[in-house]
Amino acid sequence: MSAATNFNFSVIVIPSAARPVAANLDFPTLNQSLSFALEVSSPSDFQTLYSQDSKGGNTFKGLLYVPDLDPSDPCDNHDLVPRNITRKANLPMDDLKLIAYAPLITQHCSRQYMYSAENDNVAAFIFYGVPAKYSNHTDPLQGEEYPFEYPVYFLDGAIGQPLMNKLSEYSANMSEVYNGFNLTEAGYDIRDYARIYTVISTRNTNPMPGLWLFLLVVVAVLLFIIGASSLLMHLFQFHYRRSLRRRIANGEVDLEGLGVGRITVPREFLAKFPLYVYIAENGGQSTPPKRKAQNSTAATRSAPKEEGRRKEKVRVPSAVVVKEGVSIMIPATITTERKSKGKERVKDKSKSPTAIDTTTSPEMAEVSTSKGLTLASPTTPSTKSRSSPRVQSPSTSSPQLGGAQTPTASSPPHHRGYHQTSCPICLDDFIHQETTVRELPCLHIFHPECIDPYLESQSSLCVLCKQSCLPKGYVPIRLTNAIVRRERLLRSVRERSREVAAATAANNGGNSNDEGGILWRWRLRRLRRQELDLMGRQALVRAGRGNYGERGRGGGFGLGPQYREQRVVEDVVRPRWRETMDRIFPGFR
Amino acid sequence: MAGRPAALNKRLIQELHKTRQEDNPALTYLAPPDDSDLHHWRAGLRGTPDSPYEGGVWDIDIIIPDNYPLAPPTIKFITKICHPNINIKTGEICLDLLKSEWSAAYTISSTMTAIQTLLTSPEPNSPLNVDAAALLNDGDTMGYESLVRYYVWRYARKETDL
Repeated sequence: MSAATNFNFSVIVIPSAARPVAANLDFPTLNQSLSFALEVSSPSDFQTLYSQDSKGGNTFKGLLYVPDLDPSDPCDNHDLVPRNITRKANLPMDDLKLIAYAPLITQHCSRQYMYSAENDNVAAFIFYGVPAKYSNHTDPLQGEEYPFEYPVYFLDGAIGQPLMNKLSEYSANMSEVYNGFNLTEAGYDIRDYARIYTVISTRNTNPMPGLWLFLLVVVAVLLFIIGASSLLMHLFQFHYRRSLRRRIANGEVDLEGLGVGRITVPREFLAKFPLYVYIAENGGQSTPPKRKAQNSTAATRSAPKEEGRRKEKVRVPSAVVVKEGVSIMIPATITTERKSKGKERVKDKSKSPTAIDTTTSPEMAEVSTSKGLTLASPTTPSTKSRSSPRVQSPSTSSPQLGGAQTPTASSPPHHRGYHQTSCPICLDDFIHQETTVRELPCLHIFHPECIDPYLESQSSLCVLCKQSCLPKGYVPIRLTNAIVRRERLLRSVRERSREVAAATAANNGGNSNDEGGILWRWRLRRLRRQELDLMGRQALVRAGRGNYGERGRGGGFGLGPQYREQRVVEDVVRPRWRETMDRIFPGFR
Repeated sequence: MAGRPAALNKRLIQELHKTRQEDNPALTYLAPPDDSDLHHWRAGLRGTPDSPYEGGVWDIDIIIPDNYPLAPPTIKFITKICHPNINIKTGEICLDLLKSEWSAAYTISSTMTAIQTLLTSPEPNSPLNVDAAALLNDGDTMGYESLVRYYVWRYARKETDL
């Protein structure tokens, strides 16, 4: 049901010659100062008695008139309805849209008016209240079912009666209407019609909006709940990620053991692993030289070099480095300055003699670099170390030189903890005082050209002892929610297996199966399920690795990107909706 | 990149040399079937003594990738074998050592030893041969061992024939 919101009465002029379409009443409105206009918008002044229109928002337009009644009808009260009121006969055309207007006297009279109006082209009916001496009837629809199609409105008598009087003023031709003289003077044709034109605006008062609103509220509440729980879960996941990161940083979690992707050693860490010349245990020296606090001084006393694309750091703290029969003596005063950017640069502060012998020319040094062997050769880009080079002749670079070293300077370190005589990767023997070897944190030594690609592309673990080469607390990968989940699952499985082991031990010890039987069986089942789940996923990861291996195999040594892009395989095989769900509700399982 | 195949060949020749020097008790032979192709090896694996596999010899196919030893070799059983972690049709082996746990320090010979160890210590929780794994999981050791023995008798070469 739509209720009226606004009644607008104005006077329009219909030219006598016009033959407008019934609905199209867009005739000029008379100037208000010369005529009459009335707008009723206060809700207390009117009420909607009846409306079939369900949508609302419509406007009803038409010329205001009073429906004809039988002249003998007592309802035709000329005290209320003046004799010269606008009747249908006073309107220019038959087919114009009309709005009926009548006083509300008795139920019988309103019936009469409404039946009469039904024969006309009526868009709406407006009743107005009359003083109590004529009637106290207020509802024209009382009693019977209302059979008409047009809406019915009720206007307050204080507005209605003056409007009725006004309506009587606009029933005749132009010269006789209110202010008619001035109007004809103003140029209006005397044969034109000036009539009261009414527009009734309505609005929707349907119960339907309530339903929509309710649905809207429900949807909003649902969205809010989803959003809030999503936010909460994201917060939790964030917390878990942070705590995992912290635990990794503390060294409590073994990342390699999680089976997440392939963890490799970045080049900048690789460059920090010491590189020195291999000296056989039973080589030229009677006693194996002791290595002096190598790790602690590594940062300050190492002499990193960038040799072409292979950035490798050569640690030669006051060491005798033997290379291709050329020995280079580099004093212990070489220091490294670490720039804020993290780039390393060699600075030879002391400019003390790092010399090249005249017998060995730069071409010798070039030989060594071209062979891909990395050493602090005099021809390395560092210009400062080149400034005053001095290289011992091959004859003096013999073991005696090593022995002749001053005791204060530490000699090159070699196989401190292990007795390795060959590189485990290429199986070549190390050559005494000739081969450059890289020492990993676990003290295992390798050819740098063998171990570097392995650590860079394959694994962060030592080939021999599977100890991680990454510094403790370094988090090499982006911690995803999947990794967090895997870690939690793994941890809970471990904890439970401990619990279960303890429980079974307790059970075996004495009071057995019946106590806590159901709980334990349930827990064991759950543990078993989780284990299977975990193992399935690990198998997937393994399978994924296998596939990547297959692919890498084809491309010779280029196993870089394939391995690096490898994520937790579980993420790859999940369908899209699962992924979306996981994005909204992370950690929901 | 260019120097790598040479390094790989060097390593393979080293390995071949070593296998010729010191015999691996787990193997009857280990060599490339074709001298011109070092990337393809064959081996004869002995069944572990005092196990249901005792007395059998299985031929094993070894394909060595170009990035060996950084990547593991592809190893398959040619002879049919019944084992929870070995596919009975393809001979594919499910062993972490050949996948994620591979280390460049392993040689082909030591890998073979590891496979021989796998024969006696199966891992029925990640099976490639579900039937054998189910027998083991159900604790039917007797059934499992007789199944294995049947396959040894039926398919494997016999050490006594060598």
